[in-house]
Amino acid sequence: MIKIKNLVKRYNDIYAINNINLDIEDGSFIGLVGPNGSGKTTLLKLIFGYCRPTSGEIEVDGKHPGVEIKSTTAFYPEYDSTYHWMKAKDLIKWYSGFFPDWNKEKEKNLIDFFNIPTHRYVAHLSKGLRAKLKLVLTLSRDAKIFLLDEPLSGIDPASRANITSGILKAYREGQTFIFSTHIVTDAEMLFERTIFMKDGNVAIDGESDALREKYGKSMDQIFKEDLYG
Amino acid sequence: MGRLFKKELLGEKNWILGFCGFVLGVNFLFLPLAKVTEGFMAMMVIFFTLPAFPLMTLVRSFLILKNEWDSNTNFLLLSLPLRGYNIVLSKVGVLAVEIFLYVFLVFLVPYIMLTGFTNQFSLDVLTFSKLWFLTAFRILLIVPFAMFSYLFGRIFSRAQGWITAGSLIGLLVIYSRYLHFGRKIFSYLPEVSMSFTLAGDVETFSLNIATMMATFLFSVILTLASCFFIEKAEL
Repeated sequence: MIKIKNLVKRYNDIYAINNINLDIEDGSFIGLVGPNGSGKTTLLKLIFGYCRPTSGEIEVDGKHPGVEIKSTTAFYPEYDSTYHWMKAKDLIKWYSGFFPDWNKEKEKNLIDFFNIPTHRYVAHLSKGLRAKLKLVLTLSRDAKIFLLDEPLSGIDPASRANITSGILKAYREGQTFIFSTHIVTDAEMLFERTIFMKDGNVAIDGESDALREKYGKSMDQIFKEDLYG
Repeated sequence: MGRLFKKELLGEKNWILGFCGFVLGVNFLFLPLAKVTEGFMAMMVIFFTLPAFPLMTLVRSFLILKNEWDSNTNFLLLSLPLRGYNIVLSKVGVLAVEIFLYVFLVFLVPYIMLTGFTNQFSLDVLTFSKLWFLTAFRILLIVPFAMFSYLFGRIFSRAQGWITAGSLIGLLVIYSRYLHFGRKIFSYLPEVSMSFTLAGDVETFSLNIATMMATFLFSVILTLASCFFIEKAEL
């Protein structure tokens, strides 16, 4: 379970996160939705321990973010974080060796599903393939929590569908997924709960079906018309 | 740590091969002159190549970390469930391999030239080994200064470049003040003397081990602090 209390993250005079309180139960698939600069990436980075809060508290299964939670939590960064001088298969082999929860079968299924030419150097892969390679590195684990930061960003529409299917394929009962995106259409069918963020704050938070019923609109329409229109 | 070290070594492969090629190339360029000048030019190679190493080590130590940040691979590296010392020590380890290799090559070719082409110079293998080890080790002690400054800058979310530069200058000031005190701690250690024969005369020189050990202690503290800072770095 992830508990966030009075969380604030400030860069100079800008509040990237402005007093957020959230409880995230185990085993839920959560959409973290908002435009660029709304604080989605900062929130995920704070949960994983990539940066430290200005004030407030985060607990992941009773532990503070940092090295301790990295063996149970997987993070997909928005940026291309792969070593370009490695071959894709060598990168996977190297990275997998650090995680006791690495699932070889999942790795193989995801490589086949995304059709990644693992014999090629990472530098020679397209942007889309590199994003899929990062997904293999993230999703091949049997981690408890998955933090996916904009996995659809910069990906063409055809590949987006492929990526969301891949994520759904990797999802197992009991695992918690937090999926941040500003492209709601392609991913909203995944979300059990949706958290809309605006200016570093939670603007709307609720069960996706309940929100659809309440607003009488799809998530995408709520995103475009009610919140950021 | 072995896995990380292997990755670092492979990542640095091209740089290592390139620099080894440069050192050997410079030496062999001077080879014909060494024959004519009875080894004098070989000594010149050492004089010209070696002083560049401390500066190069300082820059390399910055770059080995900065490259991770610039290419966003820090996200992958710091997603590993490892304590900071694994990451820092694997990088220090690779830099150690590089420095020991370069210094070995810088000394080796002139050593062969001097002892092979002139009959006026002699240096035994043990002294050669001592000279190589102590020179490389002293250069290696620069690494923690650069790493500490870079990682100290990274724990702040703003003005990271200024903090890095400022902390390096601050460190050098603190180090210069500490050195007097540090030397006293290790004053019981004897100086290491080495000698070589030149034109029939035995020349002896000595190295101050107390200064080296005081610097080593300071570097160990900086390395421990770096291990802590890398876990606190802001991405």
